[in-house]
Amino acid sequence: MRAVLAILVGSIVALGARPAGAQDRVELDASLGYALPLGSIERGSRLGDTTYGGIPIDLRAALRVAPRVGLLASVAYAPAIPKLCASVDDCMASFGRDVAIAVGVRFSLPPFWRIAARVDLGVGYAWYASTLSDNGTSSTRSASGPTFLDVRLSAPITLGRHFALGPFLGARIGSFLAGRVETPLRTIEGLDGIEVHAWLRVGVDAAFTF
Amino acid sequence: MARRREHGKRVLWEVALLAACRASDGVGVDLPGGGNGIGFDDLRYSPTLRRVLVPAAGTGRLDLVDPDSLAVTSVAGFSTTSDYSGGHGDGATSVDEGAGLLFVTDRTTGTLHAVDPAARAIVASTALEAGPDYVRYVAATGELWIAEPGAARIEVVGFAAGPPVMLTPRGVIDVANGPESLVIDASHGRAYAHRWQRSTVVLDVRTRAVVAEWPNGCASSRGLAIDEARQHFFVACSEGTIAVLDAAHDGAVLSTIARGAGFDVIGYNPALHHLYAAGTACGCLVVMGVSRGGALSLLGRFDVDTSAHCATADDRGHAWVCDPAHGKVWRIDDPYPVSE
Repeated sequence: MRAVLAILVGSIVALGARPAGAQDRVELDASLGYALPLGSIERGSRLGDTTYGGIPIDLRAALRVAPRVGLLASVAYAPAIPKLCASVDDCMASFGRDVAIAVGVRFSLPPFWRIAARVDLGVGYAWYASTLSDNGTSSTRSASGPTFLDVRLSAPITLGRHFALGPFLGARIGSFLAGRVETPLRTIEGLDGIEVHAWLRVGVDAAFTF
Repeated sequence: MARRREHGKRVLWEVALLAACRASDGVGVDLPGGGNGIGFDDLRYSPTLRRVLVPAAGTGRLDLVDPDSLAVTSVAGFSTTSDYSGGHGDGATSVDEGAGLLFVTDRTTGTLHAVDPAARAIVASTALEAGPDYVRYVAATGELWIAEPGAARIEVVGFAAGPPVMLTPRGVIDVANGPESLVIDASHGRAYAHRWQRSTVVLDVRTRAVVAEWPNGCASSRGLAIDEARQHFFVACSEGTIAVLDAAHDGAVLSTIARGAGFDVIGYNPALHHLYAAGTACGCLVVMGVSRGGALSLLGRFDVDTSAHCATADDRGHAWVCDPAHGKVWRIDDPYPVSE
């Protein structure tokens, strides 16, 4: 954590020069993509055991505080695609969810052609749940914990004075500290050990500047 | 810090593994005619024959695998299919042992067969009234009970050792919203079968009456196993939950654990007190220890093929896992000590 903070502070100092033509102070992003689950929820239980992945919908707001540096806040929601379900109704009821919030810093890289690439770094907290629903009966596993690193490289192509659209690549790495299994019969609290998990994300980012 | 570095390495390894072909743990045993895949369902072990019993579905064979040498011998004569496209709806899919014979159901023809393992030949057959799922021998009554979930019932077939061996239909037992899986507790004269959600029914094998119904904690009920000596009754749910119920105390839940997902047929080693559950969703074999008091604990996890949904245990310290996609079974050495 200290290393991440040191990098953030150092980068803010190093990137003190404001890019030419950059006047807007507020950036709002909305993105949609796919998230690949990696790592474990707890000992013997992998994040990808019950889901093929998530469909993250991210909303990000950045306030520019230096020419190439902004403060960032984000919220993300991702329906998790279920691996186990037998009918359309069961599958719809079996979608899991990954919810995450984060704060951090945005670094704007020097523009190249019409691409204004940036790197987002943040920390936060996440809540994950997977469900299997069979003919109206459901069982849910959920877990929550801190995000150590939420990193994203995006390369939006400027399409207008206030609008850019482009791909992004990112990862969110964290651990779960609390867990719960809710069966039709009982609820069990707790996790067996602390493991590391990650979501590798790729998608499209729409950026609006003001 | 070292632990955190270790976690980071593990995530990197997972990324690398995704880029490589996924490999199963254990030793694979190729089965005759299984090159295009086999629609396995049931998997058993015969302590008297010292063979893993593998109904090999559309290959038309019941395969017997030596757990030490891995040699395969086959009994032919069951229905064959020319190709495998997933599922387990063809040919021989369930087996049980009793009275020196093997009893095999054939889903294609809807037939129950009695097999002489010494002669490797079918010695008797009878048509069933509905599509069979699992067959289990009931020693107390000299019957075969066959789960027929399509008709929501268990069919009962009488058995006479002969000669000639005779199989005679004797009636049915209705199990609404089931039966999924079927296990016989020979020591206590009980049979257990799931309803598809939430509960397990307990039947008296002599009266054929439902004597109890126990909530099992499953959203989607699948596998069953029992430790007759300890009266521990094991329930596996498709969602990855495993529970131990106290069969001596009206099915009271002793413990629940959730690992992996996509479980179906589970195995149990009563000498090690280890439970084996293979899951399609996780592509894993989860090994759990069961304490004397019925507490489940995770011992380990192995990678298996993502088509693997059935497991059994032999008495040589191995777990066995089916691999429908590749027409194999896998022997996995259980490295864990006896659970007390």
